[in-house]
Amino acid sequence: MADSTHIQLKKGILELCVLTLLAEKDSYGYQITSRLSDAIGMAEGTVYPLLRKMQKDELVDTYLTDSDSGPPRRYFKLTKAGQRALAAKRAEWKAFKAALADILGDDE
Amino acid sequence: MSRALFMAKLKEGLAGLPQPEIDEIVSDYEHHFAEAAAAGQSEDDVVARLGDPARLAGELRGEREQQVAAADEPAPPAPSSGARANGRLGLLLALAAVIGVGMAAYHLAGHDGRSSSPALIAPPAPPAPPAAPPASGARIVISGGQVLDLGAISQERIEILLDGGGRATAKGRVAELTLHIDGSGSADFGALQADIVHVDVSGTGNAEVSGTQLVDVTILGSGTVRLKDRPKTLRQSVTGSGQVILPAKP
Repeated sequence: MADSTHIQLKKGILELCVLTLLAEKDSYGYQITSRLSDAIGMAEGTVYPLLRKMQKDELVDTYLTDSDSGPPRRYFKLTKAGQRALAAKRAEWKAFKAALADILGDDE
Repeated sequence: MSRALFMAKLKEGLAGLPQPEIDEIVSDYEHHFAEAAAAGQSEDDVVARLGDPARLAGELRGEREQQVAAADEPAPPAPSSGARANGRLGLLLALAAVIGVGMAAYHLAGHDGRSSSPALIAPPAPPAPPAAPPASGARIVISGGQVLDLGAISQERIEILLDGGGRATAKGRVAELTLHIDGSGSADFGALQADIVHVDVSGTGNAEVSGTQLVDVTILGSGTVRLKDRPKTLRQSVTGSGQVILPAKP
């Protein structure tokens, strides 16, 4: 149970993280997965389904750029809707953190 | 697992999706391998970090099916409304569900201004040849808290999308049943005899199904899928606190 809670939490937070990273700068799949999996220990592969979902939700757009090594890279960038979603998610995350602090105590 | 085996398993899991979509997904992962190799990572290491390809394919399919369902319906209610927060853990789970699933609802809501849509009942398609993709049978969308009794069914394939707290019951016999539940829907198909059943539940929905040959269950969230019979083959992928309940051994 504790494990599955952990997974659920991570899944929700993952989208917030991707939105945040893309708000900093446009990025491509491998770069996003590398940064996130180091930080929060998700299976790297799960970022791609999420990116596709976000693209269909029109939170991100993609464009191709040549890379120095190998084939062109598909970059992701935030759309206006993505920026709004980021703001909304940050607010929700803050509320969630506050609710958790209430339950667990402020020292958590 | 090698890169080749990872890609083979991924493709196997994606079979049935439109080809351009498969190509794009495959290209995403091929790029990932190429970038990782350029960064000096070993193939085994990359595969281990990517995770189980069958589960990833399931996620990619599930995500697409939710999109298909979303095109015809209001956003499902946030699962927290149905969750009876029971002590600390219950509340924690409810909150996790809000973040994980509720936010998806939030984004969908942003795209769809329609407040309600009637149940769309597709006319039954002529019996499909065995090799045809599952979508070629009848497809029924039940949304917005509707209750629908499909009565007695007798056909090759049926696909049902259940959304936003809807309920459905059916009996009879089909070769292949595909059931998507999004939100807090409930499906009682225990009396619908099927050879092959695919069920995916996102959110807090629950289903009872009866499949004799193959039952393939994907749960994201706290959904429950109860099996009336023990199938010859059971495949399950559960992410979250959901569960698959098998009948007691005779």
